[in-house]
Amino acid sequence: MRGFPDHDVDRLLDEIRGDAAFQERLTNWKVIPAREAVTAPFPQNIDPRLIGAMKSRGIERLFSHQSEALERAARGENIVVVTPTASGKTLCYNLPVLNELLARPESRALYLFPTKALSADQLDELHGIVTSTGGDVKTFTFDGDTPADARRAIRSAGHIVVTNPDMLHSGILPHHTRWVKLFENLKFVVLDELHHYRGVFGSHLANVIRRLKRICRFYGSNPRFICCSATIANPGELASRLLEDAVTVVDKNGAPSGEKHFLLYNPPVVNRELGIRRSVIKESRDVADRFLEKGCPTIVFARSRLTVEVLTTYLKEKMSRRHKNPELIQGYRGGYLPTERRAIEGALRDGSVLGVVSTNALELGIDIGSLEVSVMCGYPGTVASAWQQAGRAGRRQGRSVAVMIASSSPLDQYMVAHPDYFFGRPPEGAVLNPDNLVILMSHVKCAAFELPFEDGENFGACQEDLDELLHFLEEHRVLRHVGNRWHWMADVYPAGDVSLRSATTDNVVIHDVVNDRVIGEIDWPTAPLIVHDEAIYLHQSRQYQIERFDYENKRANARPVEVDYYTDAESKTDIKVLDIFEERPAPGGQRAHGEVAVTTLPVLYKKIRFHTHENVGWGYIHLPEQEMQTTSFWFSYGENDHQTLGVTAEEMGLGLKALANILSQVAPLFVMGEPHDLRAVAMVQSPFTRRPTVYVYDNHPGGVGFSERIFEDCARLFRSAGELVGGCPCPDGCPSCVGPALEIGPRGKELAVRLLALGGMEDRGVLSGQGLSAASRPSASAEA
Amino acid sequence: MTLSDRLRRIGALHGIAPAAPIPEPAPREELSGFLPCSNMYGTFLMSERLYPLEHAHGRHALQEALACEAGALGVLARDRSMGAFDVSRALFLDTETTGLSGGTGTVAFLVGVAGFEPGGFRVRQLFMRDFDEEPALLFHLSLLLEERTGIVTYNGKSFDVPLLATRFIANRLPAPELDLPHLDLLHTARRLWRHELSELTLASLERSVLAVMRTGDVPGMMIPALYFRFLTERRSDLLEPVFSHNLLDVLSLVSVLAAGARACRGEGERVGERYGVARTLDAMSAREEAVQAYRRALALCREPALERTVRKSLARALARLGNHDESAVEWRTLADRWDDLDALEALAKRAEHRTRDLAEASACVERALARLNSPIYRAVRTHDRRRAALLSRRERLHAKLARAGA
Ligand SMILES: [Zn+2]
Repeated sequence: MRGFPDHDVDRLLDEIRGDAAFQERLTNWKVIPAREAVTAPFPQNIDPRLIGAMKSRGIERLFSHQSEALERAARGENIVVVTPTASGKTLCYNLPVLNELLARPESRALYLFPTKALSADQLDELHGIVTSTGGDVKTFTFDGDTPADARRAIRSAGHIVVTNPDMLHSGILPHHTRWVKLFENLKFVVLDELHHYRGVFGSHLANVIRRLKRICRFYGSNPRFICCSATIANPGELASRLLEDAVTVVDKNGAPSGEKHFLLYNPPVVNRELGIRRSVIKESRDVADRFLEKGCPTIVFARSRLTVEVLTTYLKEKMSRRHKNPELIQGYRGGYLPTERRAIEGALRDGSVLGVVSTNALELGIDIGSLEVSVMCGYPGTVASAWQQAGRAGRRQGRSVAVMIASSSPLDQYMVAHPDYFFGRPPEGAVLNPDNLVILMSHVKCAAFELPFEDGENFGACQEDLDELLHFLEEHRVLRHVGNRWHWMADVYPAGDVSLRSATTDNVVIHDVVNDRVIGEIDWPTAPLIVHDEAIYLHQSRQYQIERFDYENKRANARPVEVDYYTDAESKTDIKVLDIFEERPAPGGQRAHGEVAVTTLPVLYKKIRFHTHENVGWGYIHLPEQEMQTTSFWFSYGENDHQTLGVTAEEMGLGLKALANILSQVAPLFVMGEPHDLRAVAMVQSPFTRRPTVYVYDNHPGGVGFSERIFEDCARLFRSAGELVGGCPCPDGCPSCVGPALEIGPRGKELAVRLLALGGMEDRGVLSGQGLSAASRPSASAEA
Repeated sequence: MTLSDRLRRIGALHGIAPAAPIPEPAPREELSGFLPCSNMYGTFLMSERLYPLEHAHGRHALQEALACEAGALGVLARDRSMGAFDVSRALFLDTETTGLSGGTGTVAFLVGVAGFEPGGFRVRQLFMRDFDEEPALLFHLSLLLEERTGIVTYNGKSFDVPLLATRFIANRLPAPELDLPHLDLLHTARRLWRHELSELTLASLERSVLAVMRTGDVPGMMIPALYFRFLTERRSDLLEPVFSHNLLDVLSLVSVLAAGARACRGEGERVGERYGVARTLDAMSAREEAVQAYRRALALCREPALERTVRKSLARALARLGNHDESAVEWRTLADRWDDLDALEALAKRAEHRTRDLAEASACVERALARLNSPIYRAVRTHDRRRAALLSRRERLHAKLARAGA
């Protein structure tokens, strides 16, 4: 524990309370009271060596959720533990696993972490416990960096193999015969940070787990799963969809916590018309520095690597100006060497570093001791993440502060304006679709490569499609059916072509022609809008100009440049409905979801100057149109609604455009998606519905479940978007809400508010959502 | 909408061959030269050929491999304990597979195995007409392995043998002992012939070393596709070139062994090969033999670049033997002929510490420093380190000279 006296934070909080200018920018000051620990004794049947090891680390009793996890896992239940940061969650899986391994040394366990950075840290803690039990439990990390000569030992002797889903998918499962010991004796699979496995990644992971279980069945094992998740709306649902099995939710947190002050902070408006607020970076610098100046250990979270660098520089400058050592401030992000990272972590723990600026790399379980202040430079994208970042300050005792500083993006603005939403029940549900055809087929191929399918075999929950897929692959000479089995019949290694992070199998390679190296790859569907000829492509904050996009060969040639503008491509999008899954009348219109074909024709690009955002040129894009089949949600209004609303058809078109803009911004909030996961398109008269219609579609071929979720919860989405637009101080629209007035016309914002109100009307007979308390309030008053 | 329409629309078909109707399974006819072979796991096809011991495959008769003495075997494996390897009881093995990338989905559809027996050299080819014949084939292979005490392959340590081990597991068959003494001739070839051959495939060895003529051979990378075509079309002529390819591969294993043994006896006429043997002996700490072998290689050397390399190895080997005078002779040749930096450094060191000729040492240091200043050395990674070492030697020498002068 750190030796900083508690009154530093207290004094600062008092000072802030008396600072009128600061107070004015706060949209909420929430005090979360301290909580007492709820403990339980060690359950029966725990190896005494393990209890001894715990006691030697000062743990006399377990927190209630730890002991519940231990008991349930020992009974053979699959569990998902849902607890906040600093609640001792790693013991929830380390205890059951070590207890098993101490009792039966031939047993094995597999730990999966979504990223590599975590593993080193987890390993240290685990080694510590193992050493104090005196037992012989060998733990190894197996990933792309594992040297070839160490791999053999890991395969045969590793009791606990720590890896990530990508390595399991491409490096372990396709070579399962080298891992006989592991698969024959696999008792536990640990999935930490479960909430990361959503959308495309989750849909892939569900299939990797199908393959894993299939291999385990072959070797006669049947492992149990122990999952840990941050707080989301549907941890149990997420876990059982990933595992396709019953899962018990363990969510009664018994860990104590100190008092926490959570502040929502909105930088002041500097230009009402353009909706521009004071820079979130400068504001974060000033807020963080206030705490650093008083000697409070502080972590600042930024959303990009570039922002980390900028903020680190700013804060070091502030230190220097006060004649303090600037090295008290450190940056931390992916791309730093592991040794540098370990050094910074250690310095944070022992207090020789006071402040750290980090990407979300430090959001997760890396031990950096207990800090007192967490400053978020921008909303991290999900409420779950915001709580994890806030949790890096303040562990089990003492007062701590978290300040979330909003950028001018619509989501950020929504969050600071709606503390009820933020502090209420977790709003976001993780979605996934393991039966997305592209993803499913990729993994059926991988699975067939690993072991021939047998007639009548299941692959997860998709029996019907499996038979069809196998026949399909036979027709395409990928499989051969003989003797009741489907044999792999191709000279390729299928896992090598499948990335778990993308729903497409095709990528465009971006090649730096000056330095003759590949600088990146992007998904085929989005390529025409990003790497068209003349586009400015950003990579690690360097600018490249695309010299030529070779459409046939899926290759873009780029040249490093330094220019003061970026490019923004515009495209014409057309949507054709292929199949309706579900359709329901809504009070303000009609809502539906189904399968659609989206065609995108890139039209032109604009050159936009940094900072001033003025348009400094444009050009045509000459590329063929792209077609993608995916799933979509759509909402259609009454045929004559524009007359009812008293606007012309043209105005209606602009209003719908404004509506599409805001929906595509807010929708990711409800599905824990990223902005690029969803797109929205509006049509004054959709050829399919013949009505004014807005489509919100899944931007991944085949869809990964987002649109269905939006369909279920659409009234709430429209209301939230309505509140955001209504609460925005701009007169006629701005980039923080429905888009600039230039784009959506003088009445666009007003119309969008009315269209959102129609769509947000309570759908009687359907329980819609979770009773967002803000919904009952008048939507037009801004709190700021 | 059918599944294939949906898959097409969502673009899941990139990189997949076009669909073609699945023909009715054709009857599994027998192939000429092969006979059905049945066991408790089913049936597969096998061919057998017995070659007389004096059969010449290229410039070597098969029996030359049998004459391989223990010392030579040790050198070929770079492992003295392999001197006990019994060629007469070894299994010569080469597989043809459905893929070249490895992983559980790759199958060996044709396994060529051979071994010496009193009357000659017997080659068997085990072939599966379809995937369901694999268990029977593997089971028979495990019986053949039981009679053998070692394995000879070309790249089998990392490819054929692990692949077969995987196939036994994937078919839930009791695995035979595959962890036998294993002479992987690819490793041997790398040590012996890489100094003169740019490519070390079995085919290139055949051309350059073994004098084996292959006609109408099929490139290895084509083989999986031929087998897949055979599975649907059942035309045995598709696989004829694969069968003969595999047969030649197995026979060539014997010839590589014979050629290697000859090289170890110092009978080869190839300078690179002699050098390769010498290097191997050197690596095995057989110092005196290594020195002799280097000298034998030097005797044939016509090409200056190789001569320089060989001479340098010889100089080092002599020094390790403690024969510093002879070593110095070689270093001097190197220094005079090529202004060789290693030689100048070695001579400087010798002059300073051994012969205590400080002037000579100084001269060598100056020459070395000048040499180090040439563009080729300035670009080399070790430049700075070497320069620093030479400078400190120069300083020390100056101090010694000053003291001596005083
Ligand atoms: Zn606005």
